[in-house]
Amino acid sequence: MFRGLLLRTARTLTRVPALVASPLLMSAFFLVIYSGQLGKAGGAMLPGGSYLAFVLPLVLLTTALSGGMVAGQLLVRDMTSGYHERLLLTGAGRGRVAGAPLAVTGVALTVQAAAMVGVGVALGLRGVPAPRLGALVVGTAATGVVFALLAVATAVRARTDAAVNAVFSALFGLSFLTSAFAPRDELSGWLKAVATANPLTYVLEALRDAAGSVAPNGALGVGALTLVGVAAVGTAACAAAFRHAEAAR
Amino acid sequence: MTTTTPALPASPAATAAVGPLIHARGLRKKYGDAWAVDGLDLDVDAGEIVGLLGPNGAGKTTTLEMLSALRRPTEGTLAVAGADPVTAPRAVRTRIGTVLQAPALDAVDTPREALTLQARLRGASVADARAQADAALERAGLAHAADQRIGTLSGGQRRRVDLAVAVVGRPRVLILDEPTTGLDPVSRRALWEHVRELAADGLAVLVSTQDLHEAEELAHRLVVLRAGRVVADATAARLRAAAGHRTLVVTLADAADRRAALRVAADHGTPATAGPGDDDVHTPVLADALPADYLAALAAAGITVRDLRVEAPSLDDAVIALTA
Repeated sequence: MFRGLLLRTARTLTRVPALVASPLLMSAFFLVIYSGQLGKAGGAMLPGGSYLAFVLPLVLLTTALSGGMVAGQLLVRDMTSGYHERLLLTGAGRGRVAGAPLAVTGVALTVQAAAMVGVGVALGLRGVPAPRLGALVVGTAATGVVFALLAVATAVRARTDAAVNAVFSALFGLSFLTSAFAPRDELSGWLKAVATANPLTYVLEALRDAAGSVAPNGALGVGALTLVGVAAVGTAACAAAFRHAEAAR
Repeated sequence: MTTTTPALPASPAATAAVGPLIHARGLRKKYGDAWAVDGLDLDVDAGEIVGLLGPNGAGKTTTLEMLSALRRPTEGTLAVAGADPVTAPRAVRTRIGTVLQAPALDAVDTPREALTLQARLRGASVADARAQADAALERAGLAHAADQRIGTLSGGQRRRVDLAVAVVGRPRVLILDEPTTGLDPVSRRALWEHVRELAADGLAVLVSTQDLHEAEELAHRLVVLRAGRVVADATAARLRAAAGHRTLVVTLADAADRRAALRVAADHGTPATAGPGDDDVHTPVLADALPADYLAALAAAGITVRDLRVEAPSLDDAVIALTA
């Protein structure tokens, strides 16, 4: 039963390529701009490090956030056409019906992250061993799936594209209130305080740690724990949304 | 539609069905302070097509949603295909097929993909699901369009896919919510024929419709709702007979005579009204005999009658009388 839903969701993604291509193109654009605009000045502040290796995790983070929202958009698409109700009428269950877009989003994000790493290499990313590149890809996909839980919860609760897009807008904005363009130690005043409180900072620093770039000690572990926390919040949000949907019957 | 239709795999309902496949007693549903459904009793047997009629807001869609386990009743008992939609919604959903008001399909899927997935989600193996999908496509006359994107099909074809998706997986009950809305007459008749075939296969069919002609054509029995309650449960013929009097329709040779004809009727104490055309007068036939005096008075007044006919009460009249 779940396999059928997975295949159908994967098929939909290939037939509506804009869902995947749009976030990918946006991320590639930002990587090109960041490395072009900030590469020289940024590289100067990093002790022997590559600015491209430093900023690529930020782009991968935004790739994860935008790619993760696709799970919610797929659900809203089905709700708008009425197909979501039809799937529920088969007895497949809300969990499976929502789980299929989540799982397929993870696969799609793996492909998107690999593509972004490829863009980075094409722009001059050097000296990052293949296992670290692999870790970046896996980390991006995992981040995207975790944040996709928020998209799914929003889709089930609000049933509109606008609501799902609003979640992405908020997270996208938050991604810049991190150590986005400079190590956290280089930030000052309110921005440093906000970045320290922002969970996305720790996810970003974990991705930088995986890439072998500048990151605080233990960043990988702290980032992983942060993702576990966000996953718990996302799971609880999904459960609450499902309960609300059932109660509204 | 094909002229030879491959039979669906035998439905369990075609064999021993114990009691009605839809059974509701005292069904009620409240939204806020308002009762959308207020004490509905309903039985539908295997092989029976029951039409659910009523004005907007009468509770038709809410009733269908409760039967489909999409809404939880506030009160009452309900059993659909032997399962309780409240305590066993998943069991109900696997035993019923539902066609919602608008076709609920993904435009980028093909009919074969949509049908195969539905069969899989109802528990069929991959091979069985493909076979069921192929059979359903043949039966719906859509084998030639099996691999076309649903978004490229006509409205009538999409509706047929919708119905095929509802019945793949051998449901015992079929619930249709205004299934022919937006269809042309040819597509509408094709869908009716398909529904009749499904009922003949042993499905219990409940169809909600605003189209009284459709209700009369399709349903063995009609249930009329008003303000969430059943106000009539009878055949179309019985409803028409209970609506009251016949109507004498007098068509005048000269439309300019209509005012005079109405004056003649008033002078004779005959309650006549102008008809929908510009040259007809309608008079209720309240007794067994036609109002001969009135007809004689028309002739005496020099008013020429071109045509004379008696109309039985229409289903429209019956439903309007019940729900007004």
